[in-house]
Amino acid sequence: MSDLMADGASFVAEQLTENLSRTVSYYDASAAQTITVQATKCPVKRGIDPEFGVLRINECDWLIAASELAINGTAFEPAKDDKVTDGTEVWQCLPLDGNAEQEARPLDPFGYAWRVHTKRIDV
Amino acid sequence: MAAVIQTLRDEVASTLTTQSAGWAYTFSAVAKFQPKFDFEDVDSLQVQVVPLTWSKAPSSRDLWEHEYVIGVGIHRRLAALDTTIFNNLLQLCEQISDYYEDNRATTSDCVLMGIEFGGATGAPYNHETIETQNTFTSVIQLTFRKYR
Repeated sequence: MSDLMADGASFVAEQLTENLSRTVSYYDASAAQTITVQATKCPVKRGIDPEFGVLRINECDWLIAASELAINGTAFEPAKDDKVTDGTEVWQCLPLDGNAEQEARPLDPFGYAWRVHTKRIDV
Repeated sequence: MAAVIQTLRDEVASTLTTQSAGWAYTFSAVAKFQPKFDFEDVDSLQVQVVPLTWSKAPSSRDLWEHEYVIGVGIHRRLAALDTTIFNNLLQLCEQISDYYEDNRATTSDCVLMGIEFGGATGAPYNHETIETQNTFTSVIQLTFRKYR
């Protein structure tokens, strides 16, 4: 019996890549290498940290198919300090404030795609 | 004529800027009403000085005791965690606090009564921003007293 949930998750990851994504550069910090991937840019929100006054942060999530994240055929997982460059915008992979969530998590239970949390570091 | 707390804030900012030439990092401290930072800009050392609290109580028939807390916010974001730079920033915090142990705020004629790190937490730097922003964030609270 097929796993419809897994089939559906795989289909969603394919559709995100083929129809709802843009071409960006992805820098793998651990390997110090940059690859070109298709990524879906999720709504941006601006965060405010009340620690000492106001710290204005632009945040953005990127949905990337796991199959996109590979260097020389070897898959890797998104990790802290990776960077996504979209045109002139540079976004760094960092955990959510409040340690609410790690820097990246699987988008589905089967690992077909990743949700990568980033903060904008360069205008 | 400026309020004492304003003079004190401006003097702290000016003094820190001048003295920083001999410290771990040279910087230009900025006096602010409200500290504000853009995450993109914190890749260079940012030092902002703001008044935090002001309280007063009667001291004698003629004088009131005014207590001013001036906050010095230190922010620096790195591309990745760098313990060497973070250690240097900690040293800078120590150099700032050590300076006020031996020097009086002359322009505003206020004597230092206490130094706190991180306010109520007492932390020398914010642990969360190290992990979530690759940013060293430290708040030094200088408590001054003046009778007037």
